[in-house]
Amino acid sequence: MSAPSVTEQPGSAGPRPPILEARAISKRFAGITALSDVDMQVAPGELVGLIGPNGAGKTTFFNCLLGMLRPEGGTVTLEGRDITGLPVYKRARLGIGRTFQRLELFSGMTVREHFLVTERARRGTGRLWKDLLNLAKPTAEEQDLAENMIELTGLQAEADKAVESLSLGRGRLVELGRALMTQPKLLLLDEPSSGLDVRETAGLADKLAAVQAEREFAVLLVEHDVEMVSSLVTRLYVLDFGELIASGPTAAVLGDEQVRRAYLGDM
Amino acid sequence: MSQFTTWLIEGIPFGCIYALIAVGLVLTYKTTGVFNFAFAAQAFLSGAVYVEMVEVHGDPRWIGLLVAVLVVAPVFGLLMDRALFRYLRTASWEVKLVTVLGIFVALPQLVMLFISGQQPIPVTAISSVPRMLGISAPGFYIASHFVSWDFAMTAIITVAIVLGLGFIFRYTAIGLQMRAVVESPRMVELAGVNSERVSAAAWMLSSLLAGIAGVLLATLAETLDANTYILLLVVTIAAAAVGRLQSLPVTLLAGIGLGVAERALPDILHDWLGLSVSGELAKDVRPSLPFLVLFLILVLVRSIRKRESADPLAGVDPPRPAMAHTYKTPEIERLTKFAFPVFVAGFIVAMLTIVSGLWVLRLTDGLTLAVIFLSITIITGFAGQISLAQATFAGIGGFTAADLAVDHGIPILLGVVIGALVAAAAGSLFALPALRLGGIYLTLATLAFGLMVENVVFNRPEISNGNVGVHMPRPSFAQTDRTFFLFVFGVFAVVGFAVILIRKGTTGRFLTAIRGSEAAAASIGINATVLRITLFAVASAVAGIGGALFAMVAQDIRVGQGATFPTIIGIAWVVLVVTLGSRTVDGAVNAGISFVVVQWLLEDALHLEPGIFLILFGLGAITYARHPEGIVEYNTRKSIVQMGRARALSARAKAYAAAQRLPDAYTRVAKVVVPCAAGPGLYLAYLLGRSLIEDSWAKVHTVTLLCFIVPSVLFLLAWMLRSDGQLRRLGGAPRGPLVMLGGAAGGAGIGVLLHSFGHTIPLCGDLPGSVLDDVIVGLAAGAALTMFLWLPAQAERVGRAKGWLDLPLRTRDGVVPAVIVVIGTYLFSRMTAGSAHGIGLVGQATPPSGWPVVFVTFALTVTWLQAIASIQGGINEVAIGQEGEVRATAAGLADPAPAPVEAFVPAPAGGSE
Ligand SMILES: Nc1ncnc2c1ncn2[C@@H]1O[C@H](COP(=O)(O)OP(=O)(O)OP(=O)(O)O)[C@@H](O)[C@H]1O
Ligand SMILES: [Mg+2]
Repeated sequence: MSAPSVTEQPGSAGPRPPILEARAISKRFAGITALSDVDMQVAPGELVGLIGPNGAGKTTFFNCLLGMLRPEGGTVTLEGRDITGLPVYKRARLGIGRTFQRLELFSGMTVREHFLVTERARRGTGRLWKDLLNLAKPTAEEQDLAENMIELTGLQAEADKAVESLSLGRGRLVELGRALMTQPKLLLLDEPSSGLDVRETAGLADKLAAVQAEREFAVLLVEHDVEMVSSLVTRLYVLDFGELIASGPTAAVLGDEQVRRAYLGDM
Repeated sequence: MSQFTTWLIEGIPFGCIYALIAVGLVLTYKTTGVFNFAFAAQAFLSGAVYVEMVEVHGDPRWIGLLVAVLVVAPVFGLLMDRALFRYLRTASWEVKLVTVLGIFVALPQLVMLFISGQQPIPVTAISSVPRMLGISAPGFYIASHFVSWDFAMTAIITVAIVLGLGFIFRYTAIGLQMRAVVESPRMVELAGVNSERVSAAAWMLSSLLAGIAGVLLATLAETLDANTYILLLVVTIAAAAVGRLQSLPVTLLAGIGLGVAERALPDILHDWLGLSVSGELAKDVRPSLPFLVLFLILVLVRSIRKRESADPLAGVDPPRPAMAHTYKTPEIERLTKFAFPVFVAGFIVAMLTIVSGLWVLRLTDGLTLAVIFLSITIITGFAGQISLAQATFAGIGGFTAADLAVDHGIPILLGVVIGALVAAAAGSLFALPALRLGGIYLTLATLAFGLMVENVVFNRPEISNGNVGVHMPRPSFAQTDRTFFLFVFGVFAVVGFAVILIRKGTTGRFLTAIRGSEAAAASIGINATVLRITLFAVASAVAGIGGALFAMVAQDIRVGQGATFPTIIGIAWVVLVVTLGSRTVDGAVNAGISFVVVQWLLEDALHLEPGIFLILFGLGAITYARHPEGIVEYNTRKSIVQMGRARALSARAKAYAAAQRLPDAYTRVAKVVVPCAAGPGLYLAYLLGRSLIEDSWAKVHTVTLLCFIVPSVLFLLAWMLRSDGQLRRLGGAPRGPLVMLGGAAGGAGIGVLLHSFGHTIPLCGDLPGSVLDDVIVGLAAGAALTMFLWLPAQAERVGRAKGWLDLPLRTRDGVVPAVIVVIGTYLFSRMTAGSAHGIGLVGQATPPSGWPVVFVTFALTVTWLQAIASIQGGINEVAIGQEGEVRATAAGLADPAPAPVEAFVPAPAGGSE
């Protein structure tokens, strides 16, 4: 239980103004302090990692960023705009996409329907009167976009299967595709490799890197798989017991003594 | 100040009653997750038992109190826990809610049917208790305010109970555990507390509180009247909400406070606002107070909005089975595509020509109900919320249209449209605050809203014309019943298509997404709140339209006795739609039509008490707990799966037969079902044929009926004996024949007993029947009943002996055919004794309205034959099948094509060369 010591100066986000800036986020659950005064900055197009032992508060931090939980203190700004009080769906429409640690798929829908419904939600063109006039069918353009995403995620074989029948790894791809369909400016990924084998993890990382290079959105990645983290991200934040204990370039943080003790302790 | 004392003195006793029930509500809600709407009904049960014993039978007061409060109430609570909610611990809140609502609807009717009767019973005040203690004054004075002993006793008893509760919570182990669960359920689970015991204790304790409240209310109000108790519910809900469904002390104080406030309200309105609130209005205003309190809390108190966190284990549940239509082969699909329009066209033509006038009206009635029910489809089936105010929105539509037409001469169709808009406006206004909460809070708010509008708004003479009611004109082009039917059908078709389009459209897809994962839906930018409010408004409009049409059937709208839109019927509607299937348009039609047909059957045809109807629908809710997809959907899927299983097994049987190793336990299902069906089927053909030739319902003698039925019955019994023997050889238990004999003897005994009570079954048609008749019927029914329960149990034993975990038949599979045997025997006795009751298919002419009796008997018989088929199918499966075949078939994995024999026919014992 020591005061947080930060190895590098916080938020060396580079020359451009940050797309995401979280300041002093605190969250408590009935006595447990899940987050205390966490600061974070992500620059546009930047790949940032967030690591920490189990129960460190990583998922809670994501939930606070997107509004699924209301932090007790702190502010979140997206592209300079304060979004702290906004509901989840508004933040999503402003350009934050996310995947979930425990799969959150729309049961009863196929993969293609997942992508189509996301595209419709993104456009915001769904209206009740259009439903009543039978004008709600997916347009050719929407179909194309969904088809592209199916190819991009490599889910051609499963495209028209209900998602309940997919394996965990394929399910994670559906979640990734769904988050990408929202055309996010910032993508929050919560342990995308958990439950996947080595080959699947590598495939996922490759796909992610390829799409990111093409579309240039920023990524905040929570991940336990050190290999995946170090291959993808340029900068790292480390949470422990809800406190930021380190941040900086990936290699430097991974080499830090305190981080190794807190997180990679057994080494 | 002195007025305030009066309020206290007169308000606190009622407040105590509210507090007792509200504390019970919070206690069970926190310990078991069940929000027990039925507590008000349970209070009525105890009140009725007390009144019946003390007032009607003249038992001593203390015995009545003891039985009603200390025996009936906790035993009923325990029964609720053991028989129902123990199995629903992990169920969703909707399932728990619908089950509770079913009890809420059924229990008061059961009580009135068996204990108290329909009429309110006057009750002498409890003040005789002090009198027994030798105190003769009617009351005493506190600082010059007279306090009657009735009031004082209520307060004293409540204080005593609260002290007792305090003692239990503070000093007993179970009390401490309960308190711990109330404060932090998670913590207690982690500490390894036996939650079964805690929940049983909580149920008993809270039922006890409801029981005391029930008895006190009867003595305080000096009558026993079910309506008083139903209104009690709203107040207690408000008190529980003040305590945020969490804090017992706050709830207690809130209950007492509401009692005082209710007493004070008329005075306050009078003195401070200068309103003269007398008599009727004062009575009407009272129920609105708890509603306002509840509503204000929902809107103003932020912390109540905290959503309950999802069950962390919810993801472990198996996925819901696919809807039946996904199993259909293309052939079946093409057939339904063709058959559906033919069926609809045939229905319309029949309604316009041959169907009798009475039945045109009844079925039209059902169709108007179906329109109202579509609003439930939208709210519950699509948006996943439960609203108990749909009867109220229907009423808003109906009253608006009728009042506009009658008082202002506005054309009725325009009136209906305006009514729908008014209902939509009311709905969205109401939904804005309530829907943000969703879940149980929305349900609570809708119930309070419904009861308040019914009592405060609909009852106003300006709106409902007092006891006379309002005339509801039909459109000028739809004056006759048959043209009116066409009009209703047209409206229904339009609304039905709209509902289908909503489901298929963006809205429906968004809703599927939200049902799948609310968090993920929000994360892609779907605004669930706006969607739900829109749907609530649409549903309110649909209910408004349906309500106007519904009122046009009888051409008037009433309040009070025989009201057109009572809230309590609205609850029965929700329960009915949800049980029959709330996701589809045909679910709504099924519900509408069965509502009128069953009502007619029970009340007009069988002359049963009116309450039976509500009891049946209420108890039907319990099936929802097992089959949330709707019972019709469940049955459709089950029979499709059974067909698949039979196909797979018959292919295998051929292979076994080719290898000459087919066990004789294998019997083709048809070989069993056809002889069983032959008797009833041929009789039906005979009856209809003769009726056609004679051009009126044929008079069939009982002996003729027996000629048809007896061979089938004998075959059935023989089949049962034979199957038992084969199962025994496969490893089942011995003594099957003895069981059958025992059942027969029991049946015969009941026959003799019934005969001695004067229930005769004149087998040969001549009244009165001899005791031998009852004995014969009892023998057959008893034997069949026990064997229906025994055979599946045998098959289960055989399966277990083979080491199967996934059994095709379980003991409970025999319950349905066994129950049908009971119903069938009952129907048979009513038919043969027909002349006394005015119905019957034998021994006398049946009026044309006998059709539904034919229909119901037919439906029962079909269900029964299905059950027999599934029993034989299960026996076949344990004989030659493989473990898990049913499930494999259900998942579409079983391959009906015959595999090579060696794959599954065991090699002969001697080995092969
Ligand atoms: N809804 C909740 N209610 C109470 N406590 C919670 C809740 N969600 C999280 N917590 C607690 O907050 C802390 C942080 O949890 P969180 O899930 O954010 O950790 P994490 O870093 O994502 O861990 P993991 O690597 O296991 O996913 C933990 O102690 C957890 O028990
Ligand atoms: Mg996590």
